[in-house]
Amino acid sequence: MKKTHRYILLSLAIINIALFLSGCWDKRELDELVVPFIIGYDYANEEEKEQPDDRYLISAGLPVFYEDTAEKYYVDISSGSLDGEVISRRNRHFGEQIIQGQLQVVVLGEELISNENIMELTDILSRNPAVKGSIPLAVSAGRAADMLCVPVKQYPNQGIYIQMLIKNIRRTNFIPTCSLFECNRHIISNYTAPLLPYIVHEGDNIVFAGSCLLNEGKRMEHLNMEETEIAVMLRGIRSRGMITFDVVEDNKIIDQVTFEGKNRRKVKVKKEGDRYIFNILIKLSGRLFERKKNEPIIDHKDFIQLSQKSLEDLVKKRAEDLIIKVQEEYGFDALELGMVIKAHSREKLAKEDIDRIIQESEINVEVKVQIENAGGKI
Amino acid sequence: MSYAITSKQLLFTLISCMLGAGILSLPRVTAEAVGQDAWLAVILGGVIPFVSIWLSNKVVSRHPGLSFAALTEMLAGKWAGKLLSAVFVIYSIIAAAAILRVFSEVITMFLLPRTPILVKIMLGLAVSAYMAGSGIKVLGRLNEFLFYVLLPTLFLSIPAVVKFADIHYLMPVLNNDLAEYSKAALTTGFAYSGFETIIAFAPYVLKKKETLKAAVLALIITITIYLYAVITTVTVFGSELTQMFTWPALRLLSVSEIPVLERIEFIAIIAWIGIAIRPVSNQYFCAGLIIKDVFGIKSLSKVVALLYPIIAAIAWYPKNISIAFLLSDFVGMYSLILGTALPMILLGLSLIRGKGRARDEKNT
Repeated sequence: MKKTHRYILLSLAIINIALFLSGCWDKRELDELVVPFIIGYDYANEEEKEQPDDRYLISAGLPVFYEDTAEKYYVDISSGSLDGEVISRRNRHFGEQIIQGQLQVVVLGEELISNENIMELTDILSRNPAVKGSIPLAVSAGRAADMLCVPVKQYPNQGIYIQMLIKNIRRTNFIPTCSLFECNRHIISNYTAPLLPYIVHEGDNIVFAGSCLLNEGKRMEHLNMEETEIAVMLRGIRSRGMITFDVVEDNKIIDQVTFEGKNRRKVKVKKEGDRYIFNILIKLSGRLFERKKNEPIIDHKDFIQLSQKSLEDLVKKRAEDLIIKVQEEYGFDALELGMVIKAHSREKLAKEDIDRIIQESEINVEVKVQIENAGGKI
Repeated sequence: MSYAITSKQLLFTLISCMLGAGILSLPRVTAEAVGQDAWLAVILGGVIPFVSIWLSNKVVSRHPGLSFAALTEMLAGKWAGKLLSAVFVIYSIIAAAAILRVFSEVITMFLLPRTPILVKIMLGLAVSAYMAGSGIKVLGRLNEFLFYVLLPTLFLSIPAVVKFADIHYLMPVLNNDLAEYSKAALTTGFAYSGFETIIAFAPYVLKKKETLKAAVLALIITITIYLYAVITTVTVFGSELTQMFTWPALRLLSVSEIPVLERIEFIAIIAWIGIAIRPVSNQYFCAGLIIKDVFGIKSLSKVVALLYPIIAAIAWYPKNISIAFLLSDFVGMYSLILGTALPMILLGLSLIRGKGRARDEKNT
């Protein structure tokens, strides 16, 4: 190769490298970014609308990274006819670029979710690969925008607070958590109503006050705390929690105890003609967390068995009540049986078929409680 | 021998040819065709490549020491042979372009949304050109090395599987009719495209007897990896939700979080770049090698340089992701037809010529 050719090749290579390295189209400066932790969805009130056709109000909880600012967190509220339009409007008045990759929680306003399909509302999140599928969803009593503005004391901002609350609730209470992916899976693959935690604002705190069933992606039914605990067990949502109950012997209350443990579910399906028979087995295993009477357990050798039996009866009674409510009142799959029905049917079933089967089938519950120990005190 | 690979390198080269962009969309494609029986479509889709591999090996083993271009010219005559070589070259060029385009689309979606697609195509192709121009030996070694390095990334989906998988999503088994399974087997074509390159690589294997074994093993390993991807995705999403994601195998990684690492899909994407660039390089090399042999060009690098703008232009041509998918579907179908028809024609010609030659020898 001639010397001139070498120089030409070298120059071309340098130009090429310079071209590709000089400007990265996707470069982002960290101090030009803002990272929303929490997003709330509501209907826009007349006075909140930027344009007459606006429908939704989207609130974003944003941490402030600048040192010399009084507030380290603020809530940006914008309206639009679709989520994308809201983002576009927000960008018009926002200094930094908003990136959605660190979004931790989505809160849905009660009124909005009663009328609008959650799949349509969260389409922008499911479509964006930067948003994780594990992002948890919650329904707020009243408006989500108000929930995002609740002042919190011990946490840097509401986003972190609600995220921590939702993240840990399944480890301490039989309360469901439902991620964006799980919600989509329930609606699209299982034809089951997702069960979302329901949060309310009480004093300085945000508190769980049960759950919501979203039939076909819309809120249909609200479950109180007791029903929520049972729904979690019937649906087989793995969680841990505590239940305080009376220990009964020969129809007489002999003591009061607290059980702490985890739940599991097993479902067996039989088909008799066109009728399905479901046998749901709820398994609770854990420990005796507390006992009211200060007597040694070994004094009453059947005490653990009696406690187990009392809890089994209690959970069974509550579960049967909820099943009747599901079959007679709701009329849709609130027990996560859709997936099991589809697996045991050779026909191509639609959502309506699953709902009909749930209404017409026999659903039996059995509860097995295993108290493994009684702590460090006999 | 500078143009020679071991049977082990052939094995990894064939895996690399098949395992690329297709794996990310395979769960969606198979779930669309046969729902919860998606895993069965993966197995059925492996039948045609198996037949093709057997036929190709038969042809090559009957004429050892002949490259693909020399083989076609010897069996079909000078011009018909060149035509068959041209068909293969056109396929390899389009296949390299289609894989490169799908690769660039994934990069656009997950890593570099604002970088122009042409830049991603040119940079990706530059790496492939370097690999292809380095020759079959380097390519074989690289295919083997990258397989070992990148295989562990497959297991990043385990946390999602442990947490969310449910066997009910695979039931009821065998709930579709035969026509649907046949269609599903054909739709997995793009995922398996690349198996037909055995006819171009096999002549360079040192121990000819081990060629078939290595190729079949490569197909089995590919089927196993595809089965793993499809079963894990369908058992987590269910067949209906699987159909809604463009790249369900990647989406699977976003449903669970691993402490410290958190967003594992981005780690997987970075590793996947290494996986996806290999089939482009292998197809690129095949096209370059055949052109070199047909025209008697000494330098492979020159042919590779010549092909660069052509592949880049074809990869750039699709205006949107739908057309890019149409191009990849076309490659899948082309691969199935070429992969079976070409070795069948060559084997037929070889048998006819063999009989003629035997008759001539008997007469003399």
